[in-house]
Amino acid sequence: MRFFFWLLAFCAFRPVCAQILQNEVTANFAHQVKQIDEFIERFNNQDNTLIKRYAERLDTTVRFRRENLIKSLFNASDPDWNREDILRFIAQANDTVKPVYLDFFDNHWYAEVNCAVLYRGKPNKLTLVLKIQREKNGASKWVAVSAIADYLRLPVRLDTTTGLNPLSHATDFMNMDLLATDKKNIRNYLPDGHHNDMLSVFLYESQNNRLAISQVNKITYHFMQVGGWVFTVGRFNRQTRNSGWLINRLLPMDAEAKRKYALEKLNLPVEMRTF
Amino acid sequence: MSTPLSRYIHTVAGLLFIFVRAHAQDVVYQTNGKKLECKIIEVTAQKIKYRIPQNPGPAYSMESADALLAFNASGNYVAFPLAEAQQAQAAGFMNPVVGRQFDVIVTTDNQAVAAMELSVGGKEAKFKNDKKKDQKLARTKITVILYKDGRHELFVDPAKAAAALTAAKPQVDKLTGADNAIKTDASANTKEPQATGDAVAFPGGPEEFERFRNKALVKVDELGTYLATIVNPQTPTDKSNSTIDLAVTLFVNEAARVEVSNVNTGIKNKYKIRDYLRRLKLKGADYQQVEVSYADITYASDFRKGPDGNYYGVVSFVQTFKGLVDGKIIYGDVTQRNVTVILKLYEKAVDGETKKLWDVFLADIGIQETRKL
Repeated sequence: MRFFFWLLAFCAFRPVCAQILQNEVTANFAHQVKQIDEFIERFNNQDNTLIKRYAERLDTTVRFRRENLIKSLFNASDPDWNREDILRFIAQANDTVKPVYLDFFDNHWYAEVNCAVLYRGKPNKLTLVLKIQREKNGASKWVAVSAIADYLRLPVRLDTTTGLNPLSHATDFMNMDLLATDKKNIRNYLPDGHHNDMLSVFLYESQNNRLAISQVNKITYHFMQVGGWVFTVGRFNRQTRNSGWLINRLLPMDAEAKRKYALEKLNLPVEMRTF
Repeated sequence: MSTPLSRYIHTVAGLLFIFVRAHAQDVVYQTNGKKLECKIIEVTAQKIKYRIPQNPGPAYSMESADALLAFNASGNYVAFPLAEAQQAQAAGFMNPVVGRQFDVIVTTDNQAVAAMELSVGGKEAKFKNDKKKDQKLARTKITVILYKDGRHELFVDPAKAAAALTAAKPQVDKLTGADNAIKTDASANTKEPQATGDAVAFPGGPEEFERFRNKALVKVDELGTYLATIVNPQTPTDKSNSTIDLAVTLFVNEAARVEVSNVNTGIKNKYKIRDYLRRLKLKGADYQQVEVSYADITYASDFRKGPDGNYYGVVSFVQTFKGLVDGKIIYGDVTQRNVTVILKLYEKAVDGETKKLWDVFLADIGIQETRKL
């Protein structure tokens, strides 16, 4: 259902803006969510966030309500939003007793970074998933927690009958060489549920100069720390007020669904799939 | 002057304060009937700022108009609405409570009564008054009890309790000694803690962080001025070259890179800062005249400590570029620049001694060309 109710988010000061603003670029820049840090500030309704200071500069009586700020963080050009989901999400985030905040140092949020790469001399694509790691001395850094690319995956087995037979030990595992040669059925030699550690494969290939990152093409942030929800944030480069880092997907999700999402979408290792 | 010892004492005192508060709970009774358990960090006539202990995050605020009553863990309270003239009351709310040996009963006729050895039954409350004489009071005559351990109990709905507590406030303050505390501590610092813990860890504290943040904005502004000079075809070659040299000195070193991304083509190119500035100079030569303008607002993120011990932030600003030939715009774009700012220690010789000082430097820049004019 097409709706633009979030455009009402700034209705309290838009008329004032319209009268005063001479410079559309400045106005768009002020409204644009310029960094993911600013996204977090607006989501949390922080007093010092730029949009508030900007609006107060134009109209000292302007007051922001948190639900309106959160609404303005959704990509308004998407006609397929589920209005009920958005309203439920905002109500949960803005609950007066147990409000939801985002913290830069939260555990369950990740950056999905789509890269252009050269793999074995040919252009290809790679997705790296990163998270913030906090150090003991208060420092922090982004670290890669998974990699995703078809060429890093173990192949789907063609023949389920190969493998090391249960008496292999009696022949001193003389067929062990099959692990290196039965390439198409390599999964037969691994336990069920084996986690395809593509990050290690990526590191091995790049360490051996077979894989090099050319540039970052696209970034999507996955916020999984809000109870019952997963939402993603992407960048919308356009000269409108509804631009910058905006929510482009909102999914109601219980803990089990989040575990599945963490594995299937982000290929996260098992220790990061606890919700 | 802040010495290492005084900073240590200050830090320990702060930790103790946090420890005591962490084990207690503040409460706000709201006009919508809900009871918000939180940790109140500031109360003014307009706003109540608080944090939720179970959900650590930056401070949240609510309009004071949406609140009836706020109690802190010490048993101090503020009833709303709060007039500007009652700001001292709000300041007193944040002060440590003066210890007392008795509970305080606020009655339905808005009287505050000191009560020792208080026991509250189903029909009445029994206690000893300040002359140690046994007293009884029907429950129906009680609006609120403020216990000496900081707890409170409402015997009527919060709106009625707020009215009674407002009326009884002078008596309550007199009994608890809070009136003196307000007079002596009204100027106490009730400033909201920083949203990030990093600022606290930075030598010099949040104020120094803010100073360097402002310095970073000045340097970014300076860079903008240099860029406009470099790209201007009217600038003599000697001057544009010296301006490039000046611009480079703003950066942490010449290895700082600039990545230019064109959102229309998806192509991204990286240049070292000096190379980028030289290319910018050549770009200007394509026109007879250029116009470069900047939005008068910038966004600066918080500083965060990196693994190398330096602090990192990013300043975003937007630039409009127009290239003119014969007075007509033949090219124009709007670009957003995200400039990394590094707050780092550097060594400086002062009076023959080498001192380590903090300063801000510019580093890698991301540039997005978003629109052709």
